[in-house]
Amino acid sequence: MPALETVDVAVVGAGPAGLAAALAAAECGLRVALLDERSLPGGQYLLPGHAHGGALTESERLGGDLLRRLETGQVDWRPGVTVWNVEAGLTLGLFADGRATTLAAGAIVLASGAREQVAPFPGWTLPGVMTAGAAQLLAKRHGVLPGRRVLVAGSGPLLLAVAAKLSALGATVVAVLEASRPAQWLSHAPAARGQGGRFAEGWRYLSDLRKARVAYRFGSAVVAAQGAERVESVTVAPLDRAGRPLREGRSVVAVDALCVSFGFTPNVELAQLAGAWMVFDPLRGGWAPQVDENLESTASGLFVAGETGGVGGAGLALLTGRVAGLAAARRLGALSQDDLERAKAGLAGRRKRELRFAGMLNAVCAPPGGLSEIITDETIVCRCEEVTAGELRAAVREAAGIRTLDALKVWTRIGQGPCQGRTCGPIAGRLIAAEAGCSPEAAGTFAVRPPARPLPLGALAALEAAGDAA
Amino acid sequence: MSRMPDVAVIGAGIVGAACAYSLARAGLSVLALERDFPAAGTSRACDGLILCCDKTSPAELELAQVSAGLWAGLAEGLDLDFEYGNTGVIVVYATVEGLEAGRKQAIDRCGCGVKVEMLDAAGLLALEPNLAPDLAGGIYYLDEAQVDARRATLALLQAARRCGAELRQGVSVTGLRRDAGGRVVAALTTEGEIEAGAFVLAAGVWSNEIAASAGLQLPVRPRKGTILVTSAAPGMIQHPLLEGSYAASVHADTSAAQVALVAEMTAGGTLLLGSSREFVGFDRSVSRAVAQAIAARAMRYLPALAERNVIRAYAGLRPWSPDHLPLIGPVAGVPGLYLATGHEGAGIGLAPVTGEIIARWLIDPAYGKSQATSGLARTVWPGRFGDLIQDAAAVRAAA
Amino acid sequence: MIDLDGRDVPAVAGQTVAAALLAAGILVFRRTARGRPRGVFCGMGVCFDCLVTIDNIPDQRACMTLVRPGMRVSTGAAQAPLREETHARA
Repeated sequence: MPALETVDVAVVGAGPAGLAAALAAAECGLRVALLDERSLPGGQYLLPGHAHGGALTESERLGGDLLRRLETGQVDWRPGVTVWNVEAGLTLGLFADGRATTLAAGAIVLASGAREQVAPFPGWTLPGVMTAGAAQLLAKRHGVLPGRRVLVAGSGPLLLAVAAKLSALGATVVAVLEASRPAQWLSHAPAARGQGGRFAEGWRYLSDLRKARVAYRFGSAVVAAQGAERVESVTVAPLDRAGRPLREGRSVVAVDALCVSFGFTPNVELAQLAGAWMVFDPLRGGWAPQVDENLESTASGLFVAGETGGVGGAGLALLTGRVAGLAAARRLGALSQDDLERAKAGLAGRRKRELRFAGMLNAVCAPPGGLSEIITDETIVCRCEEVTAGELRAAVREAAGIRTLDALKVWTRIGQGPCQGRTCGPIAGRLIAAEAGCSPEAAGTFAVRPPARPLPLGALAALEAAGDAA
Repeated sequence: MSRMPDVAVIGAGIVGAACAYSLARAGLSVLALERDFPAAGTSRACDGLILCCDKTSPAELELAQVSAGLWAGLAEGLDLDFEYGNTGVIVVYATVEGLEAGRKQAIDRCGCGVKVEMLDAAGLLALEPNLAPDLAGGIYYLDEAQVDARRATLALLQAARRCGAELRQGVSVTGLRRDAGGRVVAALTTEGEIEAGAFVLAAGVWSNEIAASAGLQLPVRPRKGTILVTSAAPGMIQHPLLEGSYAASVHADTSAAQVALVAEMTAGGTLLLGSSREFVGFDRSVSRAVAQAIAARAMRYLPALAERNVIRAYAGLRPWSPDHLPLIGPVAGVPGLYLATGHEGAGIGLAPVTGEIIARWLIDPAYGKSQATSGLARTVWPGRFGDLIQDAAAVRAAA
Repeated sequence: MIDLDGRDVPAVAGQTVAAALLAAGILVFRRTARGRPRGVFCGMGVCFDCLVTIDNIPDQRACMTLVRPGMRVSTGAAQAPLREETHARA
């Protein structure tokens, strides 16, 4: 059997957190491999073309510095690598260029980011309906528009950024629908102290949209999308204070694309696979690994940085990435405890402030509970296996034992498709909670087993192929 | 259920569900106790094949044939569709020697009424064009069938409930209480004592600890089996496929992991790829090495799968017994207790016949007298392992 | 240029297959087992809804795969359903 490839530190994910972690560990003289599924570093945040009218945010500037440092070669940057396994003993399973391999590391920094949350509605599976993040990536990186007449709906600052970008590229943005109300934001006002930069950014998007005569409406949402082969129109409804759609005041709007987003939830599957203890915290975007002050999970040697440890934005990702990278170096003896403590002390204050602000965003942007009313029994919840809300509700009503995602997966086919429940998991958790009157936390998560990403059978068979002749 | 049930079934996997169904249909009042939710243990983590072709003795084969017949009837009779299909199974052989040995066994089975068709290399490829071109041949067992094990469990439970059975989920049985005469009279559960006229222990690999509370030592051990699931690959195979060495892998009781290909297509077009057998205690994690070994067997026989994705994998604990036959029936010296465990990888196939044997024991006191020395009940009679009472003094103390 | 279901579709280096298809006005990337159309949804490799066949390799994420000259992409948009709707009973 060929010897295992080993590195000192393996960093999974090359967004702001992963870049910061990889470079921090490399600064300490360690051999660092930086892995990402994408072909370019920077993640969703530091996309090429990310500059907005020449004005960079502080995080964009810092992130840009990291990207330039990556080019100096101090880190072994490996694009196009899918991580499908993490074993005890810190061995990763990798897939790239048609081959599956393993990589043993002295420490792992998990910086696999977050994914968008969506709230399903009838018609949300139609082509032309996509997440705001998908539209952002297509527009920023490729200059491609999702459609000519676009509605942007959901919650959070991403809606503004995406609408402004689409509008600037020539799309007609019919409206931006923000499900929350200004009062919800004001109630969190203290958390916003020291975040002037972010408000300036938001204000810039707003004024751009105003110039383009794009309507920005609080307290309303898309409750259905219609179309045969693609989205042709959407039904828009005002929401009451609990987020329940009202009967009155609905309208049908012709569109050829709809972008939806309700904040983010951490990508935690690899941490689960490593056996890390998970905690549910709505202020962090849902399930996230429990970490100590060095950002080490309960799986020894597995550090967590950026959105994976709790959704907190790019600023927090840069900070936690650096701490995790240094803590990994400390574990390997490449940094003294004093030096680590000094680095942490300098970061602690800002980390606390960013977490407070992020908590506000996560709380306000999560899909409002009342919005679950629009999920008709015919609405697909599991997009892969086409499991409907009706099937899930029937299962919960049918049997007292069906109160967890794990049980629902046995009772129905939810989560059994190629996305492995990443899209439907949080949605179904909320659905169980609404149906059974419990918390989404009680619904748990789907179990994670290798391969944590679809992996070609031939590649799995040929992994360290020596020895297994037929 | 206001009054004490005639019988309580412990465990709502496929075997417990089948017992509950047969008992309820026979007119007994049934309470099924499930610590988690139906099929939460091994029945969610297996393939769905109903096989005769891997049975090595006439008695075992008869058991499987009776059960296969019952499955066909259930597919007609139960309301919930559980994706029953009797497409037959093809056992494939890479070598001429293996094929010859397989043919001898197949001919023996023909004498017991099993229908087979011998396939040479060309005949095999005609039926399964995606198989590797260099195989020696195959044996087509025409009567084999498959179900979705998870849905079959639910279908049996639903039918049992329509016959009046009650299912209580989230109730964990921690032990059994015996009266002064040694009779099992109550289950100790997380929701207090539950009394019943009799108890059927159908908790698969988790039966041992419950039995131990009544002073019994069951010869059942967990044997882990891992299954890979591919993305939908419509048309990849036309029949479930078994590698010729499958039966041998079942009967090899070494501690080393045994791997032999089993490939089954579900109604959704995904392929379930097994199989592995290893003794690793109660560990249900999927190991990279075993997943790789299964993938390698699949590649040997179905190279067209190379680019198909493995989208998930799972492992289940099969209740192994020393002679690879289940323990079904009463236990000498412990009145009121009936075992229905130890099916290893044949639990899906043998579930209906298990239910029927258990129901007979419970409704017909003469059944034991007439059948205990012959027939199906004898094949699976727990008494074949001698005295299961581990510690008579402890049993008396527990009473 | 890439070949999409037998016709030429313009593409530029660095573009993902998903971007090339959307730029060409193609939204339906595949059909589900029940025949329903699907296209780009998450755009970042999570949802596996944008699966296409690329150079005869099935189930490739269009949003994560960069175009290559001469690449052959088939969408399966014209495929018949694998599973009848009636099979979906709970």
